[in-house]
Amino acid sequence: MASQEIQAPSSAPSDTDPVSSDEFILRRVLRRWYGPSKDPPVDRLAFRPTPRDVDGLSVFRANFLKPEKLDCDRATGNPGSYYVAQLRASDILALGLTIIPAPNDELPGHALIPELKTGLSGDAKNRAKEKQYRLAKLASNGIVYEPPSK
Amino acid sequence: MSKTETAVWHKIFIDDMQQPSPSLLTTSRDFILVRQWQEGLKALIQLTYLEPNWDGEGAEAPDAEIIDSCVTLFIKLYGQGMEAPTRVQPTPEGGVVVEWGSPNDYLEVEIDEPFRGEAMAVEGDAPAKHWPLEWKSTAGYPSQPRSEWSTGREFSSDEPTPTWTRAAIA
Repeated sequence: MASQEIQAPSSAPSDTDPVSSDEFILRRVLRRWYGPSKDPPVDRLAFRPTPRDVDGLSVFRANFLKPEKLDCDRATGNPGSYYVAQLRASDILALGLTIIPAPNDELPGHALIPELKTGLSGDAKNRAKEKQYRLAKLASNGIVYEPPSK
Repeated sequence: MSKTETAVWHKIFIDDMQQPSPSLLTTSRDFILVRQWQEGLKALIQLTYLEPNWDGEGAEAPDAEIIDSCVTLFIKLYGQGMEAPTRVQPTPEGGVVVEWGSPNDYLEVEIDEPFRGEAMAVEGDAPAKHWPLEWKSTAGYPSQPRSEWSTGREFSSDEPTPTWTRAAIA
């Protein structure tokens, strides 16, 4: 009698699955980009792509990791230097943006907002800047993690 | 211009504003305006001390020429009676973003090369407005009288500085 392989339930979530509109999305916010007394508290620059964001702006799906993990993993840059903002995927989608799964080896739940990639110019760049500002406004109401005081 | 020269400009401008002429500061609003611009200028000058990789992700240090051109922009805007910026930030590519924020309105100038910027204004939920911005060096500063800062050189733009934003921030 042949042994049967034990298979994971087919309903187990995977970070390769499409992003659902009812998910929460996390974004790291460098300490410099957050000022509680400012308007808006989260700076537009927190959503501005860096030269490394060639395929889109990096975000993470809250279903797959805890916010504090984004400030602790040394592979992602500067531990102890990041706030983490949480946004509803539906709010991001309502801005005309998309969120595509982009799993990598560093952290689970990685995804990209391709409309906010680096290297845009002209009207596309202007549209992206406005979206970055709107995302910063949304993120200002959703800080879910603060880095340790320095 | 070198960081040292920038620091000298900073010292002259800050010191000058700390001992303003009584004839120029006739109201408490003027005094507050000067103080706010001092803070904005300090934030700008502090960017000159950022080292490469200031963000831990490989960012370039702010470009000294861009910062110097921002000093000129600040002088011009101050001379025009514009409110001081609420934020002055570096970009990972060595540029500077100067911002004026309020609960419902937002104005910024992103400067990626000396004396040239891209402005964006957002009013509530209305679509953002974008326009290029150019200004020229204020040669002769600080020997040039303060009253001539904003008139001695042209401050050009495809659109005028949005007065509605000033009103919203005031």
